Formats: sequence, C-alpha cells, structure tokens
Amino acid sequence: MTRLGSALATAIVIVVGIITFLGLVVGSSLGGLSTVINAFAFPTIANAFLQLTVITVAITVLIGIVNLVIVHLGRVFGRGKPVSQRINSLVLVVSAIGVIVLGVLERAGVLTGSPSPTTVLLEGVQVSIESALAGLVLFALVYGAYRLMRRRVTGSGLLFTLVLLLILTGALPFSTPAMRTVGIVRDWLMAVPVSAGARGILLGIALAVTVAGARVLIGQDRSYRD
Amino acid sequence: MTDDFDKRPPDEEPEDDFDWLKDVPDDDSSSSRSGDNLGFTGELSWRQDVEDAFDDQLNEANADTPDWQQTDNQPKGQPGKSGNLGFTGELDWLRASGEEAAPEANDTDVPDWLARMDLAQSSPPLDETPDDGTDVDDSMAWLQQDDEFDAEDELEPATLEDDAPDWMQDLGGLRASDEGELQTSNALPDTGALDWLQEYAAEPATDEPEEVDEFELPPEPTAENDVPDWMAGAYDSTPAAEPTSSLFTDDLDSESVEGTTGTGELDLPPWLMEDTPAELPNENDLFGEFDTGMLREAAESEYPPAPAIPEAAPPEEPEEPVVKGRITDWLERESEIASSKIEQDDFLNTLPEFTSQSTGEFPVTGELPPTSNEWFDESEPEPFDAADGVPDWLTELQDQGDITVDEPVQAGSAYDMPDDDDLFAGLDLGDAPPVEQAAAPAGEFFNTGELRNIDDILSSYKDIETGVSDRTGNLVNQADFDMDSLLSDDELDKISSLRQSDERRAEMGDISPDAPDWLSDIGVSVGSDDVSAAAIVRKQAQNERGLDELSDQLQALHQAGLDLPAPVTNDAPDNMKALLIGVPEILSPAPMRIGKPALAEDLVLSASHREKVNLLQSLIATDDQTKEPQLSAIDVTLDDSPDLDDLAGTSTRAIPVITSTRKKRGALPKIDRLLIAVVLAVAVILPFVVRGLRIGQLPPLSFAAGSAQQVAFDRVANLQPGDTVLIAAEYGLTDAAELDTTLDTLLRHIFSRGARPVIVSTNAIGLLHAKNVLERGVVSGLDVKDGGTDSTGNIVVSPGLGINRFGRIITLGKDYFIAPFIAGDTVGLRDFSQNIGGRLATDYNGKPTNLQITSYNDFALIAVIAERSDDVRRWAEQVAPLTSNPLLIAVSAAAAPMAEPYTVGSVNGMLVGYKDAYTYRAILEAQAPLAPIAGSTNIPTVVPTKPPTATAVTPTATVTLTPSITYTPSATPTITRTPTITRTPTITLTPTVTNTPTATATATFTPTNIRASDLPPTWTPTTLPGGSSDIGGQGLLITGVVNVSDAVNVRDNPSRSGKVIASLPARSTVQIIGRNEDGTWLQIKLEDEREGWVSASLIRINEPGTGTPTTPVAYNVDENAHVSLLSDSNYQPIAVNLQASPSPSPTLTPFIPATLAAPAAAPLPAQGASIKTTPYRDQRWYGMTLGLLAVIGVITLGAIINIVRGLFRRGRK
Amino acid sequence: MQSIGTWAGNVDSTTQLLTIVIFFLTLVITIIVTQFVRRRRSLYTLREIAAFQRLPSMIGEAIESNHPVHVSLGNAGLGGESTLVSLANAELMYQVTRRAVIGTAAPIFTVGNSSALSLAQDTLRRAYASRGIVSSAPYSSARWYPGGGHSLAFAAALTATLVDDKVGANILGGSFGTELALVGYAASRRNQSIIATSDQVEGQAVAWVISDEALIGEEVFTAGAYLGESSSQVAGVVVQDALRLLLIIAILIPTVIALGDTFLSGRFGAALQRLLGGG
Repeated sequence: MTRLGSALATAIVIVVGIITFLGLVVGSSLGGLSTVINAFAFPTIANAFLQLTVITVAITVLIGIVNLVIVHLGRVFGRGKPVSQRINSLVLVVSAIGVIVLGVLERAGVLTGSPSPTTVLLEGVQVSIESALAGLVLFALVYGAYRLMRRRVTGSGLLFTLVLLLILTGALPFSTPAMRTVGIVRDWLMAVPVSAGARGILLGIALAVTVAGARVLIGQDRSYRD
Repeated sequence: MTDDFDKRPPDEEPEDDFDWLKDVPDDDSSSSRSGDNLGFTGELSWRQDVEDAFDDQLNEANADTPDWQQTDNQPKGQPGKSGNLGFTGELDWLRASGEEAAPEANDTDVPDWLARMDLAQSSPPLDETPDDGTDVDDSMAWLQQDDEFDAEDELEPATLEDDAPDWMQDLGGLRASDEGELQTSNALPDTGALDWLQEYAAEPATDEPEEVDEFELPPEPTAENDVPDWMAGAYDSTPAAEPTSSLFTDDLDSESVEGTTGTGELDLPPWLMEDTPAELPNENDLFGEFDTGMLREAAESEYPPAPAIPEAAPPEEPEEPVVKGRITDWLERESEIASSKIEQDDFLNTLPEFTSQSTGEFPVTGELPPTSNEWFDESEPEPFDAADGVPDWLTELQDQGDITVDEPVQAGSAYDMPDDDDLFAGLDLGDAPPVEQAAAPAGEFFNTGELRNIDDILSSYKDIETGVSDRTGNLVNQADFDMDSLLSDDELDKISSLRQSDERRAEMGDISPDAPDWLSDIGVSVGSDDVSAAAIVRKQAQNERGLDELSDQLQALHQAGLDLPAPVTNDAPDNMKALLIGVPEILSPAPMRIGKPALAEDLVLSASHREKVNLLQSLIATDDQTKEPQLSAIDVTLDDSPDLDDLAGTSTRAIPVITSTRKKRGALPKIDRLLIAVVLAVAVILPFVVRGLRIGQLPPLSFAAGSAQQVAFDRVANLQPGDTVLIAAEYGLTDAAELDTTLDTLLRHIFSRGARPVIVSTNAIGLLHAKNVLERGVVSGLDVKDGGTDSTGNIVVSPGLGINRFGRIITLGKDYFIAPFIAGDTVGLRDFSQNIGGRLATDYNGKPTNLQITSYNDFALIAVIAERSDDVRRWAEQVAPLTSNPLLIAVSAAAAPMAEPYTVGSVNGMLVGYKDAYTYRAILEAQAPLAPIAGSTNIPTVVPTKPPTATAVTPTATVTLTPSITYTPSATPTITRTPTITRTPTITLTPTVTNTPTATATATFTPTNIRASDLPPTWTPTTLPGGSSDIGGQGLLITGVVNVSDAVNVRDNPSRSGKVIASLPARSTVQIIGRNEDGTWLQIKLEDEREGWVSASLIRINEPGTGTPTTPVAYNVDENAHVSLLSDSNYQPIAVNLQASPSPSPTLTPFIPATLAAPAAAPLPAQGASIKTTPYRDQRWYGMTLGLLAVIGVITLGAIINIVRGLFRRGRK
Repeated sequence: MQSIGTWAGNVDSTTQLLTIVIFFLTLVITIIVTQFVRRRRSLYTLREIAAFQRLPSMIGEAIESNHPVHVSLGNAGLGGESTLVSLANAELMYQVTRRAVIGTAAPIFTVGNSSALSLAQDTLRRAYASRGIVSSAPYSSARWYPGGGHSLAFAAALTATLVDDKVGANILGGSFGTELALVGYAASRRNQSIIATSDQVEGQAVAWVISDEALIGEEVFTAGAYLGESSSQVAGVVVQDALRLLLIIAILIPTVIALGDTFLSGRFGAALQRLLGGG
C-alpha cells in the first residue's frame, strides 16, 4: 500500500476509534465534555459503528463458507493429495452444503416436521460427536498432566502437579476428616493463589489490550498499513 | 504519531533483516529468490536431484549408517532436526548473511556479498602459504605432493576420458568458487558475523599460523567430512602416525615434519596403481552427481548456499591453503602442525573441550530450548510411518521422537546423501571413488601414505560392512561388530599384509624408531606395525576422560562471540598426538562450523556425517557428545540468534543412547495411553452397573441456607405467574453434558412458577441446543394426563404429580420464546442491549413474539447459563449495568472460580456444575405437588377442601396456594420471606391430614413448647387413633425416607457395632420413633413392629405430619426436637433470619425455621405424590466420583514415573 | 443524550472520567515512549521468553523437513472483545509466516471465527509481500472451520489438519478453551512441536500443559517486539511494563492502607489523612 494509502487508513482508524471510544464512554454527567461529545452526536455515531460492525461480522460468515468450500474442494480435487485428505475434505464440503440446503428448505417451509430436520442433525450428529470429543478432552487433559514432567522435571512442573492433585482430591465427595482438611486446602487454593494468578493473567492481558488499542489508534500497528 | 510509520527507521521494520534479499539480481525469479533468500528451496530441489541416487544407495547406506548411529550417542534432531543437521552449515551461512544484513543498511551488505561471490569467481587464487615463514618447508613438501598429485590427475583422465573432463571442470569450478569462499569468509567479519570471525578477519588471510589456526579452531562440526581422512590416518596409524607423532613429541622440529611428508609421498604411486582404476567409474558417478546436485546450483547462483558447496568441495587444491574452503584449511593447518605444536595442541584441545562443554552446559540447557526433544522423546512413531519405507535407522531416530513421521526420512537422508557420496561413501560403502575423493586431498596435503592407508581401511571397511549387512543383525550388534572388527585378526592381518610391501618396509625402517614411543605414548598395545584406528581412538577415549573445564571456554566461545579456545590442557597434547595425523584434519574444521560461512559446510554437514563425527568424538572425548547447535535458517536470518548453549543443550539432551530399546520406547507410550484411556472409561462406566463401586456421598438434598445456590433457588421460586425470564444459554455442546441438567431444572422450576422463559444466546449452536433441551426435555416431559381441565380450559393438576405440574400445556410463542441468535459476541450483546425490544420482537423463526419488552428491567429474572467465565463477564459487564435486577448465573465447574467474583454486585445467585443441578433438582423433586397455575390470574380450585376445623385459619390455607403476599395476615413478620414457598408442602399435606380424625383433636391442642432436651433421649411414642405416633403426647407422626440409593442396615443399637436386624430398601419410608442423644442415630419402627436404629445420615426426615392443615398446629413441634431428628447433612440452620423478627407467639418462632431448615423435608411418595426422578442421577454422580479417583491415580502415577525417570536420566548424564 | 440503556448511562461520572484518563494516558505514554525507544533502542533489552527463543528454530525445523507451519487463531475474531487479541496474534502470525514463507510447504492458518479469516488472509499477503513474492501467496492456506466458543468441532478440525497436512510446527494463539487439549494431544502424538497460548484462563492452563513452550498471558502481544525487531513494537512492550508498574502501585497503596488500618485500628489512615492534609 502506498504511503498515502497508509496515512489515509491510519487517519480513518484514528478518527473512527476516537469517536467510538468517546461516544461510548462519555455519558451525560461529564459537564462540558458531555455537552461537546453529545453535541457532535458521538454516541449515535458510535452506536452506528457498532451496528455496522455487527453486520459486517455477520457477513463474514458468508465469506467463511465460501472459503470453506473453496479450500476443501481444492483439497478434494487438488493433485497429489493423499486419499485420506480428499475423503476428509469431501465429507466436510458435502455435509456443510447439505446442512445449509436443509436449513434453507426448512426456513422456506418445504421441509417440516417435529423435530425439525436441522434439529435432528444437531442433536443426532453434532451433539453426539461433540459429546464424544468432550470425553476425549478429559482424556487428553489427563494424559497431558500424566506426561507433564516427561519432558523434564522442573519445579514448576512439580508444583503444578501437586496443586492439581490437591484440587482434584479436594473435589472428592468424601467426608472423612482428612478429606475435609484437603477440601479446606483446596478451597483456599482456588480462592487465593489460583484466582489471584488467573486474575493476574487477565490483568496483564487487559493491559496489553489497552496498549495494543492505543498503538492501533496512533497508527503504530502495521496490520492495516501495508 | 503518523511519522512513526512514515519514517520507519531501518531497525523498525522486520523486513529490514531480509531487505537485502530483495536485492538479489533481477534475473532471479521471485520464487527462486524466495528460495535462495533462505536457501531452502534450493536445498530441497538439490535434494530432489540426488533423491534417485539416494534411493539406490540408501539401502546400502543404511547398512552402515546404522552402525554409526548405533555406535555413537549422537544428538538426534527432532522433526526436521535431521534435516536441520544437513542444513546447519547452510544455516550458518545464513547466519552470517543474516548478521550481515541485520545491523547496518542491508542493501549495502548483500550487494557486497553478491559482489564478493562474483569476485570469487574471477579473482585469482590467493596463495598465502609462501608468506608464512614457518610453513615454507611444509609448503615445499606439499608442492612436491602436488606435483605427484598432478601426475596422479593426469593418470585419471587417461583411464577415464568422459569422466575426467567433468571432474576437472568441477575442479575448475571448485577452484573458482574456492576463492569465493575465501572472499566470503574474509568478508564475513565486516558484515557483523560472529566476533571470532571478525577477529579472524582482522588478521589478513596470510596471518601467522596461530591466527589461521585460531580461525580453524572454533569450527568443530565440519569435522565430519574429514572423518574418512582421519580414519585413514588413524587406521594405518603405524606408518602414518609415526612421523606425525614425532611432530607432537615435545621436542618436535620441522625436520621431522618434512620427514613425515616425505615419507608420505613415497606411498602414493603404489596406491594409485592399485586403486585408481577401480575408483574411477564410481568417482565419475560421484562427481557427476556432485555436479548436478550442487555445482549446477552454484552455477545458477539462485541460491547462496549453492555456490558454497563447490567451495567446500575442492580438496584437490594444493595451493592457496587459506583460499580453500575447509580442506585447504586442513592443508594449512597441517603445515602449521608441522611448524607449531602449540597450535596443534590448541586445536586438539578444542575437541574434548567442546564435547565436555556440552556436559557442563547441560543443566542450563535442560531448562531452555526445544523441550520437544524430551516431549517427543516418548511419543511413539505414527502407525503409518512404517509404511513410508523409513529405513530402520531413521525409524530409530523417530522412535527417539526426534524425527517426524516421514518427511525427515526424505529430508534427513536426502541431505545426508550427497555428502556421503562426496566424503563418506568411502567409509560408508567402501566405494573406491569416495575413497579417491577423500584420499586425494589427503594425498595432497598430508602424507600420501594416508592415501594408501585410507584405501586399505575403506576396503577393509567394505569387508566389514558387507559382513554386517549380510547378517543384517541388530544395529547395535552391527556397531559392536564394526568396532570390534577393526581389531579383528582379519583386519590386522589385512593391514599388516599391506604394510609388508617393500617400500612400506623401507618406510617403516625409516620411522620405526618413533613408532614404539608413540605407540607407548598412547598405550596402544599392538605391534609396532599393526594398529587400528579403533585401538588408538579407544585408547584415546580412555585417556581423554576427565577434561571438563571446557564449559568455561565454550561459554567464552559463545559470549565473546566464539572466541579462540583457551590454551591446551596438560594431558590433551599427549592424548591427541596419538591421533595427530588423522585428528586435526578431521576434527579441526568442526568448530569452524559455528558462525563460519556455511559455504563449505553445506557440502559436508549432514546427519550421517554428524553421526560419524559424534562417533569419533565420543571415542576421543569424554562421555558426552559435542554439542551441535541446532541452528535453523530462521535463527541465522535474525539478529537474535538463539543462545548456543541452549541449542547445544538441546542436542545434548536429545542425545539418545540408541540401544535395542527402540521397541520399548515405541511401544510404551501406546501402552500407557491405552491403559489410561481404559482406566478412565472403566472408572466412569462401572458405577452405573456395579453397586459396590458407588462410593462417595451424594450431593446434599438441599442448599446451605444463605448460600449463593439457595439464593438462586429462592429467586426462581419467587417468580410470579406471567413473569418473563431471560435465559441466556451461553454454552455450546462442549459443556452440554454438564449444564443441560442445570438448564432443564431451571426451566422446570420457571415453568412451575408459571413464568415465561425467553431464551437468547450469543452462541448459535448453544441456542439451538437450548431449544432442544427445552422442547424435548421439559415440555415433552409435561404429563397432563394426571390432571383434568377446569371450566376455563386450564389443566388442573391434582396434587401429588411430582415435578411435571406446569398447570397447562407449554407452547412456543406463548409460554416460552427463542430469540434470534446474537452475533458479534460482546459487541453484539451490547447492540442487543441497545434495542432489546426490537431484537425480541420476533423469535428465531422470524415470527412475532408479542413480548412487551423495552429494557432488561422488564424481565423478572435474568439467568445466564455459561460455560466460560468470559461469558459471565460479558453479561456482567454489558447487561448487569443495564438492569436493576442482578443476574443469576449457572456455570460449569471449570468456570466457577473465575465467575465467582461477579457474585458480588452484578450477580446474585449462582449454581455450579452438575452438583448444584443435582441438589436443585432434588429439591424440586422433593417438593409437594403444586396446585395448577393457569396463567397468572386463575386461582385454581383445590380438592379436597379443608376440614371445617381449619376455618379459623382458612385464610392461611387458601392463601398459601396463591402468591405468598396474601399470606400476610397470619404469619406476621416472616410472611414476606421465602419460607412461605417452602411451607407449601405443609399446606398441601391436606389430603393426608383430613383423613386423620386426630386432626380436629390436635387442632384444639394448646401449643406447648417442649424442647428436645426435655425429652428423654429415647421415648416410647404412644400410638394415637389413626396410627400416628404421639411424640411427647403431641400427636405427631414422624417419618423418614432412606436417602441413599442403596439399602441401609437397621441395627439393634445406635452404633455401627450394633447387630444388623433388618435392611431398609432405598427410598423406603419408615416411622421414626426416637433418636440417640446427639441425634446421629434414629430409632425406627419397622413394619413388623420391630424397632431398630439407623444412622441419621442415611435418613431424610419428613416434616412431621400434623393433625391439621393449619400451621399453628405444627408449632407444637419444638424446633430443637425437630432439628435434632434431622440428620446433620440435612439440617440447615436458618433460624438466624427469623429470630431477628418479632414473633406473635413464642411458639411461632420455632417451627418456621424447622420447615425452612429442611426444604427437603417435604412430603414424599409416601404421601402419595409421584416424583419423577432424573434417570441415572445418582449413578452419574458416582461415575464422576470414581472417574475423579482414576484421574488422580493416573496423574500421580505419571508424576512418580516421570520424576524417577528424570532422576535416572540426570544420573546418567 | 445517552439513553438509559448504555454503558455510560449506567456508570458514574468518576468511572467515565477514569476510563477516559487511563486511555488517553496510555496513548500519550505510548507515543512518548515510542519516540524515546526509537532513539535509545539499545537501552532496552527484552527479557528472554523461551517460546520466542524456540520459535525460530521450531519453524526452521519444520521448513527443513518440508512440513508446513500451522498457525491458529482459535476463536479469536474481529469485531468482538477479542479483536485486539486477534491483531496481536496476527502479528505473531505475520512473523511466523515471514519465516515459513521460505519453505516449499506453505504455512497453514486456521481460524474459528469467520471475521478473522480476512485478517488471516491479509497477514498471509503481507508476509509474502515482505518477501517480494506476494503473487504466490497461497490464500487458500487460510482456512475457516466454524467454531464458536469452546468448539470441539473446531478442535477436531485442527486435529484433522495436523494429520492431513503433516504439520511440522504448531503455533496456537488467540482464543482457545479446554478443547485446546485435543489439538495438543494430536500434535504430540505426531511429534509436532507446539507453542500455545490463549486469552482465556481455561485455555491458558491447558496451553501450559500441552505445549513445548507456552506463551503466558500478554506475552503474545510482544511477538512483534521479540520477533520483529521493530522499535515501535519494543516501545509497546515498554509501555506495557510501565502501565503494569502503575497498576501494581495502584493495587498496593490501598492494600497498605487497609492493612495499616487493620493493625493500627484506623490510626494509620487517620495519620495519612493528616499527612496529606485530607479532610
């Protein structure tokens, strides 16, 4: 993109960003600032931007579907692709198109019935498949924890495993005195270190997001420049 | 701010690192440019060129490659690492060029580089040897050698017309590019290459031997391609080593060097006579392939490494020692060796140092880089690997987790092949041509005796190899066989027989005096004539153990920019002298690899070479292996090239002891994976079928008073008919198993209150799924057959229907609504909030909802059922501020910890996971049947009517059936409380009561506040007419229900030691007639009038039946008396709330708490209500419990295993 | 004019003011620090992050073994609260791709949020453009697998991709939940190296377990600084650290006061008030 284009894009980003931000943040209780902001109808403009965003995001689903079909048709008919790949992609494309058609027909009232065909598909296929996968998630997680220190035995690995075991044990529904003690420890772990760490991470992410947003607004982010 | 991107200082844009790449001459096609930018596509295509040749030879090559791999404990790269090995040289080149590019204006650098390349093509060879005063004699000797070599060259074309030209052409090309090599190597420092290179650059190429030697020292890896030479030198150790050893005896002088070279030359002719013919054909193939594979690349100059290749190739350049690539460097070093043993010592020490360095660094590196080595270490090969025709030795690698499925086979092996052909074929395959290739340089630079010797070795190797390959036994065996065979009688005989030749004799005569000393130096206990490289090396390895201060030096090497190795260690010289002839040539280039322009190394570095060098080093050095920095093209194109320590450490950690444990390594993960899967599955499933495995306690049947869960329940219970409830089903199918029960239960409760749920979601799948749960789970569960319709058409459900008593048929669009999917996550939700009325005007099908919603405040309750804390946060941030009603949230157990903070403020009431859903459901199921609720206005009729005696309190009875407000008159202060709700059971007991004549009697009963403490621990109830027990003469019938899914024992006394006299089936109702002092055991009366004791924790006590439907009668029950009858788990003290409020009479206070205390203390089927229990509710819980135990066991086991393994591994290191 | 249905309409003016102040403070700090860092680049050395150290060699290994590099944004997308997470991961994606472009196997992008598809394709274009071979950018390498939060279907699609395309290295950024475990498991079975992170706590925990090197929290936002050598990116990191310090102080001060009051029964606060001349 030319430098002019970059400058233009950056200018647009900055203007839209600032307007949206002020429009959303500034209420009616900030005296002069509110007056100015509202005088320029920033809130209205901001909401308009938001609705545009929502619409755009919804439209991207269409782009996604096109991409999905193109990519996987390419994998089906592309040269030198392994059979397994062709089959996977073929199934994916066919089922995707099939469901779309089904949904359209159902909306059009061509297909009726209770439960509706899409419902049957959802419950009969997707729910069951994802439920099976959910079971695999448990297995994958357990296996990951099982082999956590197989790479190397580190302090953090040991600590992680210890806490993990404590928390799991504390979740056991036994009411022996020992288990009650573990339960207390578990509650403390969950309430203090775990949530503290988690919130620390979230705070860090929030800070980074703020800075990233600022960088975008002042045109330091290259993503839309070239 | 905008100038920020307008300016774009060079260092700001990452592209800068690569800008120079764009400066590649225009004739490059973009694709090829991308390739030669980082030199991969070229490499890959080059690999393609030799792939056929490789395939043909791979089978043979495999026969010996495994030997090396088996014999050495050399680092096995992980996926791509083997390929990486092959590339490292190139990567180094890239590193050089990358560092070239990084610091300063790149566009200036590369043109330089390219220019240099061009220059290299045309510039005359630099001859620095003459300038080197100390080397004059040597260079003289070499010139002699060279002459002979020329004659030798003459010979070859003579015997082979068609090949010789190519070969000579190659030489020409090589010569030219060699100069390029020189240029590049000299240029490197200018371009910000590694510091040591800069230092080297600071010295003119014609520097003192030390300088040059220093330059030689660092590069160790390139040693690989010298292996053959070394083997040659070491193999015919006696003749070849003798003179050299004298070089290294402390009283070394240059004459002895001349002697050495001189004697060496004498060997040449016979060798040529013997071997040349046999070699030529293969040699042609070799160079032909070499030509197509690399030189053509170089010619195209599409791809920087390519030009490099020729530079590495030209061993046959006697002149221009420095100008040469590595090989000429050996030449120079050889001369320097002759002139200065210190330098030799320096170099020689670098090897053990470098290797021991890896040991020193291991702990450090253990932390940092590619942990994947270990990670992959245990992962078994893909099933389909075998199908890829992976050679055993590569599969071996893969089993180490170091090579990915099948590509590495191509990559690694492909990279290896050309180098193998060029330099190692002699060793690997025993092919003559490689011998020629390897020997020729040796012949030039060193003594020609080496040439003959290497030939001997190679031929002997060939014998060995064939012998091995014939057996095709275990690789390890091959390795052992290989090394042992070096000392086998056959070998020694072969060697000695070769040395029986006349000139050999004469030669021996000349140098025989040295031989014993030298041999004794290294303690090789073999005849002065017959000694094998293996013997020497083996001895060497023994002598060398213990060198370990090298970590410091390598540290310096890294941090100071690969500085010169520190001075020799004391014992190093003697050790290394033994290997003098072979070792320097072989091993000195290896250190060069790091940071050296990879032009030379591209040719020589390959996985197999590396393996071979590691073998040598493993024999020469200590127990650890030389670190091979796993540099990738990417690293070297960046400024921040990875810490060599880490890289080295990586490879160090990656060093697998390749033994026959391959099967084990491959199989173990499969086994433990399988076992874990089976254990988990069985643990979860078994409790469904095996009663004995149903361990652990079921969730409580009631929430703790005041808990977030109780608050949630009460908020739903407070809904009024006709209320609209917003349900956000923010969970997908992942957590459906956990949250479906919650959603189902909440919906049932909401419907039971006559409220209307509106379901929304920002998760499309979640929305559809919630719709299904509602329609197929709740609505279709409505069983209207239990009731009739009243005059208004509303279904009147008679009491005692259990949970399905919504009062009327639930229909979409009237009793519940499915809103359109909210797209756009948070922004979408915010947008939804902006005009919620419009968004809810139509449902997901576009049909009008007729909902009169203008803001969130129009919802009586907003419940968010979320799988992630983020969903809760989204609603708490975007919606909670917009409504005066705090949210009610139900989250998965995983999201609970992070969602909990929101329960303060924006959220009021929280349900967590299946456990709370279980309890919630249990409360609903335990509730007495509700009267039908038809819409929000109809007050249904209830049959049977209340007994006349109840007229005094009729309002109460009537009112309690309607919204609690109207209850106000009688239960003065406490009416407005949720207690009203939980009281309904009492009222609906009417049927039972009215049938009891004692009702009237007790109705007139004057309440007396009898405290449990006033009662005897056990008492004998007097049975009143009607069969109800009179506790303390109060005419109360107290029953309880077995509250576990299994039968419980009835014992003859209140202790576990008591004798079991009977067994109560699960869920059976029993009459309670007493308790022990602490209320932990209850005395019951069996149907056969026998009395026994049951643990109170197993019995849920029903609210005492009273003689009247009116509440006052119930007041007769003393709170403590009642409470004391409750099992600990069921008693939830809530009296606190109530005692604060004034009570009309002292007897009012106690009962309400008692009732509230146990919401579960409600009529059970015994009272005639049909309760629909969630299927497998308990089994599911037990399955979770046992599964949890299994998970804990598995993780604990894994931790123990891995810790032990870690300790063992560390100990091994 | 804010209707009662908006954030600003439901937040007190102090919060509004604080929000504005914090945001513009961040803007100013970012601008100033950026200029300063660009002039004094050498002053700032980034602490080592194992994942970023490992990344280049990881990609190199994949390339050298002719395996594609797989980068996934998970469910992160544009337009939502994960917009900036998407942009940050796009930068990581860009840096990775610029390195992976040299391989014969084109890098593979997978996104679960259709709004991120365009971002991925543009990142692909920029990366190839940075090599001067934008014409050969394989846009079909950016793939959308319909996901949704915690979508196991998406995870399953990634698993299939790892197998079908014989991926060599996985960089899993963006937004993942526990389903990340499936991907990590599949990758580890195939000896594929992984660098993973997630802006969700659940996913972050899983990432730590299953990856060779995990990026924690905001580290993914520093990819440009670590891999791109851009001084403005480095400035972003410096700003982050500066704000982090401010945040820590902001948390510590009330904590200290509260503790002091607890132990000194309120006298601490009173003393502070006198000291600061408060009413």
